[in-house]
Amino acid sequence: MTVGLVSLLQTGKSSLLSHQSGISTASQNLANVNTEGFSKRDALFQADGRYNGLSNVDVRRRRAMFVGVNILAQESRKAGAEAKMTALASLDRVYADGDGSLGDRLDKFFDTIRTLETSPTDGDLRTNMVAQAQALVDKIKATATEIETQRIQSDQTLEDAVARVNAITSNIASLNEQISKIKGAGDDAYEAMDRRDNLVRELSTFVDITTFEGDDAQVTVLFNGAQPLVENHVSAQLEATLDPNYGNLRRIDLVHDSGVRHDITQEMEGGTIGGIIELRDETLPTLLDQLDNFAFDLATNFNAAHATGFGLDGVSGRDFFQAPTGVAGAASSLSLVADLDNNTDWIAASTSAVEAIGGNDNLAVLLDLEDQALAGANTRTFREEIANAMSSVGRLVQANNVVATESASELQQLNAIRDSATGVSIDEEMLDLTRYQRGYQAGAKIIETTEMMYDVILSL
Amino acid sequence: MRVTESQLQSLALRSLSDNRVRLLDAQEAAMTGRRVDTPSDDPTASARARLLGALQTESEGYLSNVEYGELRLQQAEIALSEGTSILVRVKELAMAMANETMNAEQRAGTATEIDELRRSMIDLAGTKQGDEFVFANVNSTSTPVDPNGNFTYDVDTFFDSRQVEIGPSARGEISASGAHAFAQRTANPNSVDVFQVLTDLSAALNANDPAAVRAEIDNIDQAHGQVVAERSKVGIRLNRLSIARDSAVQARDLYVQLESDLVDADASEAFTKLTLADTALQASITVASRLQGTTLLNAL
Repeated sequence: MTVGLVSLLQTGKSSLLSHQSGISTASQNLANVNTEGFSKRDALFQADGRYNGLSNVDVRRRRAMFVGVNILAQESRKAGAEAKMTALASLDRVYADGDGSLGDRLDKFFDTIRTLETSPTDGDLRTNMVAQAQALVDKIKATATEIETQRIQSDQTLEDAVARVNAITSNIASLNEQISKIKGAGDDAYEAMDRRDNLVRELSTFVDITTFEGDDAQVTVLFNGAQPLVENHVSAQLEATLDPNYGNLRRIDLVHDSGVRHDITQEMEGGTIGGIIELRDETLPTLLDQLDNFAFDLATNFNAAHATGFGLDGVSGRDFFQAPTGVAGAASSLSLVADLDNNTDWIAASTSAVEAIGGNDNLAVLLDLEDQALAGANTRTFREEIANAMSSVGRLVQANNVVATESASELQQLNAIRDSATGVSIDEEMLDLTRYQRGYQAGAKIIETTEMMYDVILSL
Repeated sequence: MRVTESQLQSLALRSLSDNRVRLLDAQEAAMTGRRVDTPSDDPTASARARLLGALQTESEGYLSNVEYGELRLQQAEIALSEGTSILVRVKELAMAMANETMNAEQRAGTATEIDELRRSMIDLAGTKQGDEFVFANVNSTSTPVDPNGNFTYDVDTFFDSRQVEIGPSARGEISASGAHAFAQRTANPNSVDVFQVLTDLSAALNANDPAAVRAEIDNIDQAHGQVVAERSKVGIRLNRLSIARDSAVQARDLYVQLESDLVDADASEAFTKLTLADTALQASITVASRLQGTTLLNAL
């Protein structure tokens, strides 16, 4: 077989160009060593039969398909747990035991009754009992307010979250469009794909999503397994509206491109939005309900026992707490009967009118309430109910922390697997760079040798 | 397996931040001396500690009731003891004056002394602790016996002494009964009105009637017996309070101990954890600084 000198030059040229492109790919990888979501590019070479040379057939972007799906799921879990963390941590502190805690206030209130037994006519002791009752009422109300505040505050963050989701979905849709155009023009759209992957990942921190890549590298994003958030170049929008049906908190609607909308508030799971909705509509209302029941049971049972007794003025049938109108809102509206602090004579210490002054038998009846199972649907004493609420809050916080830690560590492992497949290794790129550099030098040598051969021929 | 830069970075970051969290927890436990601060630190332990805290408050309450009751009963005991001495003196005088050899003048002089002793007795019945009358059976804000020695309330209706909570479902009496000590009650046919006995004795002396004086001696014995009986009841009540105090103190100390076992950090454990966490963080820092240093870049 005879090979022409021109062909040799072509061989050298193909080697130079291909290695140059390899150096460019390795350089791009090195430059992006710290770029979040950047997938390593591989330069693919192939022997070129035409000039016995080399051609750089393609630059491939590495992918880690199966890991990606799991990463999205864990991102959702982690963000959901983190969204609940602040509110739960604040409740963890509110329910913590110590001086001035709910349990402490309850104990001290009953303790003032115990002390009043020794001198039921003593004005100071009576005032003290009313003051401790007021402190207990204040603490119950403050706890209810704190729960409600956390509900409202977490609800407010939905506005920002929804806005960000809308920005992301429309960005993904427009990247879909760009990618289809770039690919249509025959180029690779790797940068746009990297950007789109990052956005999909960020989207999964807001809502639980599933994605798949269809023809033409178009990504479809589904919410709740079926509802499309992004399909080709079109994205649906979320809308948060204050709704009386949600206690004047926000309802989330999915608004399709066609204008059709429907309420998806209760379908939201995972991610910041799902986490907040669960906190707002399930976790916090359960705690508030428990507190309302506690306040209702305390006020009604205490009133019932108090009403049978007689005050210092010999009058019976008086309430101690303002009678609650119902369980809902009992905690936040709890109060002592009006003007009790100026009329401590109303405290019904005795069980009969003749013993109105100096009798203390009804105080014993009131004290008995402390040990009766009157709270939690008559299953627990008042103090056990508080201890129970404390452990519920503790477990909620703990369970949420476990989800956050677990998903973070799961994510860490998945990221490690993904990075292992698609990340950039400086060592590897340095070796590639050196390899391509040597290849480039070799290509140059081919040209130099061919030139020398030309010189030999021409000097004949 | 390929090892990439971002893997190394996130490994270093994670191990540093994990160890920082551990160190913070260990520092917190070592500094506050508490293992359980908020319910989430240990939900079960914090709920149990809450109940133990409630029991502590309750025990403290029992203790304060016991202390108050002891003060009150001690006042009553002193008064009843003086009352006993008065009645002993009264009996001595009565015995002496019952003697036929005594003359009218001597008896009249003794009658004056008896009147004086009667006033002392009335004062004793009006003994106060703070603002409250110790021998009042219900209404402790007004004196049980007026200056003339008449009871201000119906002694047949009001004779129980005041009870307060001194232990779990235990109620103890913290006052003495004026009705039992000083009054004539229908329920007890042998009982006498102590002040009336003294009035009668004084009258008999003034009337210079030795037989009548002699006749009062039985009543004086009965009065003495009544006061002594109430005094011994006070003693029993004090005894009961003392037992209640011991159990309340023991219970409180036990609850404090149990709560501490649940929520307080064991000092040696806390400091061991602190040292471990500190060492682990140091190790992470050393490893992280090395990770960043070694690549092919340094060699080429």
